[in-house]
Amino acid sequence: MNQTAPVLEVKKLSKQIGKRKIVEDITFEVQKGEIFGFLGPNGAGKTTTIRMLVGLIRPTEGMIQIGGYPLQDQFIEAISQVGCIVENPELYPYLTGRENLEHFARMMTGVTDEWIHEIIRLVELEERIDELVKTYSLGMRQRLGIAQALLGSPKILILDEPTNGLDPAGIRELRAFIRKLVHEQGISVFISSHILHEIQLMCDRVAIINKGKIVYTGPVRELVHEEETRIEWRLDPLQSGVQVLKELSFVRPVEQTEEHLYVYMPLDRIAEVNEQLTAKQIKVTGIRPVQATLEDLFLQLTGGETKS
Amino acid sequence: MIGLVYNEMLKMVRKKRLWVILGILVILIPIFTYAQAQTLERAAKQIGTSDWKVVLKQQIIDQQNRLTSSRLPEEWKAFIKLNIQQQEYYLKNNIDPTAPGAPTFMRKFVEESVSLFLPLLVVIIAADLVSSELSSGTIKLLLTRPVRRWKVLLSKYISLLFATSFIVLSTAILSYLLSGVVFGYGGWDLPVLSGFQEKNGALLTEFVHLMPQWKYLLMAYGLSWLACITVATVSFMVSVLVRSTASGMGIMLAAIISGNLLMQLSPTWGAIKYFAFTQLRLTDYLSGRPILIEGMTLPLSIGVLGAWSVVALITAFVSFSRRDVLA
Amino acid sequence: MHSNHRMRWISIFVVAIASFSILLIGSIMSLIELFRPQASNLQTPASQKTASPTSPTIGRIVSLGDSLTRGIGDDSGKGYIQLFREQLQKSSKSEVSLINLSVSGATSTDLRKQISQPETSNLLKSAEIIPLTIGGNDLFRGSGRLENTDPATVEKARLTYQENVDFILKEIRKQNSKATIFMFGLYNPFGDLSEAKQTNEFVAKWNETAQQVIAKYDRVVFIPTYDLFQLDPKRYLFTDHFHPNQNGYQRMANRLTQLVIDQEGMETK
Ligand SMILES: Nc1ncnc2c1ncn2[C@@H]1O[C@H](COP(=O)(O)OP(=O)(O)OP(=O)(O)O)[C@@H](O)[C@H]1O
Ligand SMILES: [Mg+2]
Repeated sequence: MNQTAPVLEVKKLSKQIGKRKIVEDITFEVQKGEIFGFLGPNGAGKTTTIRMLVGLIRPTEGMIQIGGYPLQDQFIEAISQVGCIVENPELYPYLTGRENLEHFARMMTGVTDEWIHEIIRLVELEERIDELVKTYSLGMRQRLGIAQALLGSPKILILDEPTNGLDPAGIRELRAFIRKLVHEQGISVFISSHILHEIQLMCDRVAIINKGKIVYTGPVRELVHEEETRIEWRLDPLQSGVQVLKELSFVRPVEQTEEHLYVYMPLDRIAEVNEQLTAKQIKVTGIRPVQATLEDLFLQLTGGETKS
Repeated sequence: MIGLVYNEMLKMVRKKRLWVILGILVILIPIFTYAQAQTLERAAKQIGTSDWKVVLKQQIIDQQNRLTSSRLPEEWKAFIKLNIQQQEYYLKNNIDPTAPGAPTFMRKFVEESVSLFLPLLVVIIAADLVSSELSSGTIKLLLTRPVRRWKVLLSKYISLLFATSFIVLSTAILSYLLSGVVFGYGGWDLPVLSGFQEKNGALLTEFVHLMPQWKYLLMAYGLSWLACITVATVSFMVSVLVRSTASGMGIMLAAIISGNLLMQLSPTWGAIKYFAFTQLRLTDYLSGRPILIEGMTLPLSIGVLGAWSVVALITAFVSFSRRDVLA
Repeated sequence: MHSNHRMRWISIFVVAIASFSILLIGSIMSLIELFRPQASNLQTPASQKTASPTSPTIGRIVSLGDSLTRGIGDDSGKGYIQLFREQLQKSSKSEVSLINLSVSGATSTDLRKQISQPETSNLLKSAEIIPLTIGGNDLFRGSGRLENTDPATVEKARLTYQENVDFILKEIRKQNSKATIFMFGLYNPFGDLSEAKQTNEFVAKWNETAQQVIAKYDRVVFIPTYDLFQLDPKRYLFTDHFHPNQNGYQRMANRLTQLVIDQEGMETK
């Protein structure tokens, strides 16, 4: 097989349910060893796309290739390359963790007991693996979900919002875990999220989807200007303050509410701006760097209306 | 494939549904046993003897009396007349159709439970086989494996057939073990009459012959198994089509109960013959108990049950392998 | 752990396949059996070698006749025969048994046929008390009208009745020479109607006939009922104006009980 061929290739994918086009004309590729982010607000069509990727629903149009095999025509070969969690990791609560893994292992070929053991160690569930899944916490279920996805030694892991419901520590752990996987096993990861920050921290490349359409595909690095930070200004009076800020060349206003103004600007020039404002009799009641949100990004990408 | 079937059976066992069914049997069979013992005892007390001939004679007379009532619908009269003829035949040939003993209880039990009780037990297992995976979302993990969808469904169906067999056989074994406490465990060799046929309201005894009770039981449970498999197959389809387990079960209960009701209420309405759940009483052909519905024959019953099963299976497989899984 | 697993695997499959196969065999056998029936293997009748082991109960009642012995019209469904049995049971230490062979709507001709059947005669053999009501359906139709007011036809029916009663009693005696037979007479359910005069005449004539026949036999007792319903039929008859109601049956039972207990008392002395 061609070494440079993408692990996952999606072309002109569309899904129509009833009269509604839920996903339209989606195209992207995931390369070997890459963590690919799939970013979009609620209801954008992320889960629908993922369902098509793993063969749960049929695309109305378009093509999906996994590891070089077309999913629709060579389902078995194509799906053998995939491990996935779609939405929540729903396992059988009345079986133990190990029984769940063995259950899915019997549905594929070549999964040895040693490998199952290895995976259990990998997701750090050794202690609780022989207890019923209904006694597991959400984080443990999430890890067991990843364990079952890894069973078939997939080339690509497809995870739908895997950080849902995890606490910050859990999210950090998961991030580290996924990095380790990519590093050690050399597999690709396709990960969906509605949190820009998460994608920024984890992914190499990203596709952004809104209302069923891809609005951006490219490296995460290019997505947000790294030398700039989003800053929240509280000013009194606000309007005159806005005027002042708008005149500065290195400040890029993005959003304004009744009390704040959000701008992008280099962090090290805050003092300079503050000085200018004070000189013009404008009281600065608050300055705060904040994380960029998906909405800002849309604004930046489309330069227009944001709300989905 | 064996692995897949094992998976399904493991889930079935661990889901505890089977144990619930065994529990139901363990509780209800003693109640039925007690009721049966009471009936026998009361009859014996009233007549003053447990001599089966006297009891049988009294039953014949009692039925003759029911016949004289003008309010009785014609089809019931025909039914009773045939019943009387059969009982007279037993009397004439010196064969006790109700000789006490656990095997006799087993026979009575399956004949009475084949159209309602056993199907309900089967529905408990069958109605949530697929819909539970849909509603719990585990279907997503099941169908994203390198296994064709029809194989997944087939493994479920095979395990359902096994479970149905297990239920029917457990019913037999439990009714033997539990009723034996009261009736005694003997009676496997008891001669039983079979082969009664009906033609134009008269009982044909041309083919009537004796067989040992164990053989009769094997055949009776085999027939009830066929009926249960049809019920299982139709429930299986419903469980594929209806996502909610509760509504699936409701649909099946309604269908089975209306089958039983239709059989009693409108036996002259010919169309109900083609409704599978009026055809479950296959054991009646063996015992020669008169069939209430006009024009019903064994080939027709088997044909209707078979046709329903085949259509249900095809519907289930087509729908399951084509459908978008949005759960 | 591992062998444990294998054991479970094997046992689940063994149970499943075993039950499946057993039932499959059963169903195939039954289908073969039902689709290709064997010819009868019975040598009828299997010569009643064990002449029905009759249990040694005392006070065995075998009742014969029509709807009156059935208890039609009694809301509790007992009729005189059950009331009688209950009363007798009270004064008896042993079990009083009852086999009720009466058929609602039976005429004397019907009873004559029934009495000739081997099963009936078998049961009669062990009887000690044989209560009997017959004739009402010969004389009156179930609907409550006189079958035929033409005296000639009624007369013909009476002759048949006479002959039948004779046959019935002879047959019972043939089977059982010791039992006491209690035959209830007829009453006139239309005693308060306009045709009462004529019907009274008929009933009297028929009762006389019965008594004449009975006189030829030993241990047959005639129990009149004519007097019970004559004065106030409404009070003792059911709403169909033909069968007795519970009160009526109670009066019949009282008479029967009295006779039986007296007789038993005499015997034991
Ligand atoms: N079965 C269905 N029939 C009709 N519309 C549907 C169906 N399933 C999903 N949709 C619609 O398709 C759109 C995309 O849904 P999808 O679940 O793919 O969104 P998502 O990007 O995963 O959102 P979230 O972040 O909330 O998980 C939504 O507007 C949803 O209402
Ligand atoms: Mg989603």
